[in-house]
Amino acid sequence: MTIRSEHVDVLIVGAGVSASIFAAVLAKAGRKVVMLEAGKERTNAHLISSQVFARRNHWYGSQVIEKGNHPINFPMNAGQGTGGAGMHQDACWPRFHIEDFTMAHDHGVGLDWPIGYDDLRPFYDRVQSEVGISGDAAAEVWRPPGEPYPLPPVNEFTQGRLLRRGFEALGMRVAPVPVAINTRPYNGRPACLYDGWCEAGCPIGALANPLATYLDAALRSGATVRHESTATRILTDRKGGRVLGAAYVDAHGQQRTQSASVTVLAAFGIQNAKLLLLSGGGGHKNGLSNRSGLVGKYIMTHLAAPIQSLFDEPTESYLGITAGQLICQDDYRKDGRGSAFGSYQWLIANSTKPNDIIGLANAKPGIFGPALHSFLKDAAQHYAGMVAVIEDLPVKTNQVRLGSAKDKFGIPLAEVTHTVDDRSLALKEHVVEEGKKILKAAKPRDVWASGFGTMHCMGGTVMGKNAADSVVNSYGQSHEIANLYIAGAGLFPTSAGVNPTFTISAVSTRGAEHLAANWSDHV
Amino acid sequence: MALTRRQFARVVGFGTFAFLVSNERKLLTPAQAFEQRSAFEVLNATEVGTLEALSEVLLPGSREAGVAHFVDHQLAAEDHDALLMIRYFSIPKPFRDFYHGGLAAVNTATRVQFGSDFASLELRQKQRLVMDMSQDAIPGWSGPPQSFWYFIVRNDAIDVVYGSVK
Repeated sequence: MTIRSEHVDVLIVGAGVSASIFAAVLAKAGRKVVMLEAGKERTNAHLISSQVFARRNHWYGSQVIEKGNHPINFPMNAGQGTGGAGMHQDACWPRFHIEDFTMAHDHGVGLDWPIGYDDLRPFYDRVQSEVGISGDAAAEVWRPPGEPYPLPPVNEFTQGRLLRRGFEALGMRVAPVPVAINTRPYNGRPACLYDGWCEAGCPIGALANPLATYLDAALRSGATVRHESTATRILTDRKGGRVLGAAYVDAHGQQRTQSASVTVLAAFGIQNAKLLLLSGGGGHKNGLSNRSGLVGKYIMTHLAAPIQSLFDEPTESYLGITAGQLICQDDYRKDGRGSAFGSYQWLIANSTKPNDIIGLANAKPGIFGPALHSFLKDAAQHYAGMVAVIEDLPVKTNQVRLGSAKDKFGIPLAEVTHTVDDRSLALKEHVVEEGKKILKAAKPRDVWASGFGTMHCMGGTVMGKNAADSVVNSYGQSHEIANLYIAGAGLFPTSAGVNPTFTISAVSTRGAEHLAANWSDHV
Repeated sequence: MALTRRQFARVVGFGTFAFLVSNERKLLTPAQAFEQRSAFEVLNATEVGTLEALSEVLLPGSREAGVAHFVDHQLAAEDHDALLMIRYFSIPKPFRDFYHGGLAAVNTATRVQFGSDFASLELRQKQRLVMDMSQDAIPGWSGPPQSFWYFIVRNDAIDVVYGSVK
């Protein structure tokens, strides 16, 4: 038997960054908001500063089957529980560049956004004031126009100072990394301790994760979160012209439905696409809002290429924040490097612990035995490193589909295929060579590159001007169903060469405010 | 009684979990669970021996730091509570299947090459096998991808020895 809940104004699937912003804006506007979160409730008391305990901030739900030559490592990038993936972010918040929005127009490569930087600029400015971003806008010479940061930059420790000299020796510029982390008390939240356990979720609230910012605001304005509530289908009227809400399974295994005037899918790009694909029927043969055939398409990530070194001097690499101390975007241009295409940045002097996937021990993965102890003893005092965030081109065959296997709720598993485009791989090769050159110029005793990984997940429900070549408009509103919104990095037509969370926040704020201001058009 | 520095590090270094000692749940670190011989709930005796022997080659001291106890405890945990590195990857659950398969594959490989289980080999033989495993070079291997299995168990060992809770 299915239990129906009382009708609400807004149903949001998810409780992460974009979900929290929609909830905060709409609840503040007086709308009754309910959020369905598949994971367990999490408060600051659950956050333990440890690379091991940080893993509890990551996805633990239904398996995502990964295919292709370069899997995106979904559980690594996704989250579950209150705050979603926003709870394990490093809070590295640079802005997208102007050219990130017009790649197809400028170069005939990739996709264009239906909006430009200037459309998002006021939202970048407002969000940074609301959450507090620390940085030095003047030193960040590559930064597009915008308000200066409200907080002074993060401290530069020994590791940063040593690596800076490598950049400067080659005539390259660095700036303090812009981060959504308080360097002074701000808006009722304390300043950072620089203990470098950012991925564990910051129990003191210095890092602007959803618990500390928009979700807190949403709950204070009357929004509610139903935890351990897994959406299983988006419900529509018979003709498929309106979304009625969602079916879900609650914490006790009870089937329920929640009806709403407007439904917002904010469950991370891949899960959003999966829900749309399995919610077809009526006028939506190939999944909901999928007449374009583009739901699930253009899945992107960032290539993460670490460059590592050992210095004779002590480096204090355990100090600071995971995002790093400095940033360099000197070579952000899209082309001009032979077959390589795309943008990238350096995040320099990341705080590093002995263990975990980006820990010291995995800087030399082939070492084991007594040699591993020796290396760790050495690295704990002398390691310094940086990581490149490299653009991944939107490729239509990188996609989410419904698999044949089903999860415990009886719904198909998501199958994600991802293979990096040759032009992005060529860019990665170029970047690695540059990185080794930069570190060598800092005069360490050893420099190496230990392969590459992936970070972040974008695309799957891209925005665009037309229903034929996109799933949603620039506000995240479905082209086909007026009262269905999609939020998060799944909307991004390009990945850029920077971390996505600031842009997720700006895009979501714009979308949520549009919905709030034009409410009567949707109901 | 004052704790020695080593004892103190064992208590506070990693965090405590509810291990089963004499049919009673006690909050212990993995190292304490090893010392007190807490019961295993998922891995059988052969698997424990293989895991400890393999981890000890990967990172000496990990056996005494309780790697097998930690892994076993985590394999019995609820999905949302799980702390193993394998959680980062799209490996089908339950994760215990991955560990059962990997540990069995290790012994199948050593029986073919050396006629005995991994734990019985000489150190030199173990090291040779682990080197081959890290490079996907063990012939006839039948289990999770060798280098990925190596990566996971190596990180489990590192977690118990070098992981810490602030």
